[in-house]
Amino acid sequence: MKTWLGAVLVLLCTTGAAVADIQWSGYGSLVVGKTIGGDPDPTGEVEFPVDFYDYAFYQNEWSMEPESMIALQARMDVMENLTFTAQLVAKGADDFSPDIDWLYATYRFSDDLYLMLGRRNLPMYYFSEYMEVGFAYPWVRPPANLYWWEITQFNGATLVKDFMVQDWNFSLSGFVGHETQKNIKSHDFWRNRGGYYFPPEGTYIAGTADVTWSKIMGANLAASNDWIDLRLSYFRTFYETFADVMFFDELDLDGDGVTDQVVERRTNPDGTPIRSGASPLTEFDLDFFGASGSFNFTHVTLLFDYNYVMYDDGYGSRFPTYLLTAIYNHDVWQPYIGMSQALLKITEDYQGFGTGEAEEHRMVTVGLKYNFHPNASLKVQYDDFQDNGDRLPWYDFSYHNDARLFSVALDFVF
Amino acid sequence: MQKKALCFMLLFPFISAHALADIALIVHPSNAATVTDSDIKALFLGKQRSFSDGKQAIPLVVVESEASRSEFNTKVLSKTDAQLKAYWSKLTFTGKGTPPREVSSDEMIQLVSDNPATIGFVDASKVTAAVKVVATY
Repeated sequence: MKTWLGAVLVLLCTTGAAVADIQWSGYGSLVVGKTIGGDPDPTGEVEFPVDFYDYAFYQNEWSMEPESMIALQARMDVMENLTFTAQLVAKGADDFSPDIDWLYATYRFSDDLYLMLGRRNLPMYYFSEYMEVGFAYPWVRPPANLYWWEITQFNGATLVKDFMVQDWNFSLSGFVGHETQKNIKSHDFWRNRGGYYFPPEGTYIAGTADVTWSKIMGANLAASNDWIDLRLSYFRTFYETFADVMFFDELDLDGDGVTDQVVERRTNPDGTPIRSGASPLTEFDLDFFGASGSFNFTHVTLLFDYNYVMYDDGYGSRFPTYLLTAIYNHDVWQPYIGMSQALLKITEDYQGFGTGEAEEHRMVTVGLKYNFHPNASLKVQYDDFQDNGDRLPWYDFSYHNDARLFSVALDFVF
Repeated sequence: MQKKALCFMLLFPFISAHALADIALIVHPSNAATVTDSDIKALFLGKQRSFSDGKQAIPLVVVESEASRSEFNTKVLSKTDAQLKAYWSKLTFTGKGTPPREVSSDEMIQLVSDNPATIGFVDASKVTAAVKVVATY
């Protein structure tokens, strides 16, 4: 994937430059953080995850790798109505190895109708499309207990129609696409913390996983006037997870109904790793619903983002999540306070597992954004993550325990 | 008397500063389209690309170093400079829009007087007969 994307970028830079100027711009963040309290995870460390896609988390020592990053955007007007855009992104969580995260062509049929074809961020939550442009939002990061997906981008097509009704400006977009991510470390992260999938045979994710979101299809409707900005989003995809798995074979050697020996099995008879097969827990439809927006008063901005995710899996999993944030807009100072909550509700009794709320985590965020330069801001933020998911009769589905984080970010655009 | 005036200026220095800096919204003299406050916001925030008569609109802003830029952001768009910069960062890096071209006040007068599609603003003291003022703030 990266090879062909690179080849296309080189082609664009060489052929595109001949017919059009390239407009360069970019953004970046230097972030340092450390946990300042909480309960140790099963690893023995207090950990605060901030990016599941890139498997980034802070521990009890200052660290700048998890979230520091830089991105360079090239935009080329190739023809009157055709533009190519590419973004090269290097993240500390990925050893600053540059990746082409965005690569798409925009064709304008008219001033208010255009098609974007290629690789882009998936428009899920309110901030999903620009979740890495720290300069564009108040916090150091959008709350990670909502923005936690291993899939954040897709290859596909997006058609956008802008229109006005009286004083309201609308933007309606429809999108289709596909995405596969291989060797996702976050699944290993979950496995290490007690398992994420619970098949009856004792099958556990035993390493990294490959995830495919196919048949992605959805729509966004954004509406704004002088002081209100609202957004509705929906998409559906077929969610498949593949991973190397292991079995614990419980052997009853003497036939007394009691296990005498447990044998761990990771390979097939031919020595190849056992891969997870199709099951109601590894293949299912996902539906995403979102309602979000902002209200801009003279000095105060209120942000909200409510989302409801449905898995058509064995558990009938439901994920209601929300965030609320209030920002005071002084000339250059923007103090903010927010909270977010994510729940997992199990609505179907899968093989006697029961139903009910299986996971709950809340986060309170307090911070200050100081816009000390037209193109740069400094943020100081405190996060208090509370894991409220330790409920019987279920195993703790939550991926980690209580943790408090202090972080400082320098965000910039150029 | 002089002392009283001095005291007044020290206590309320912002009054005189604001009184001097009226912003004039300007278009080409041939542009007869009605321009409402809501049109202006939508045009300068990239939400609308044409005037009320359906003709193409190209917004221009003065460079950041000129005081009228911040005045315009605050008085007309009701946003701080930082809020507006964050807004355009979001659009720029998601392919949903590009900020208006930045020019000096002198270039602004020249461009608006040359091109009927443009709309811009300058400090009211810099307006010439070559452009038409559609609103002042």
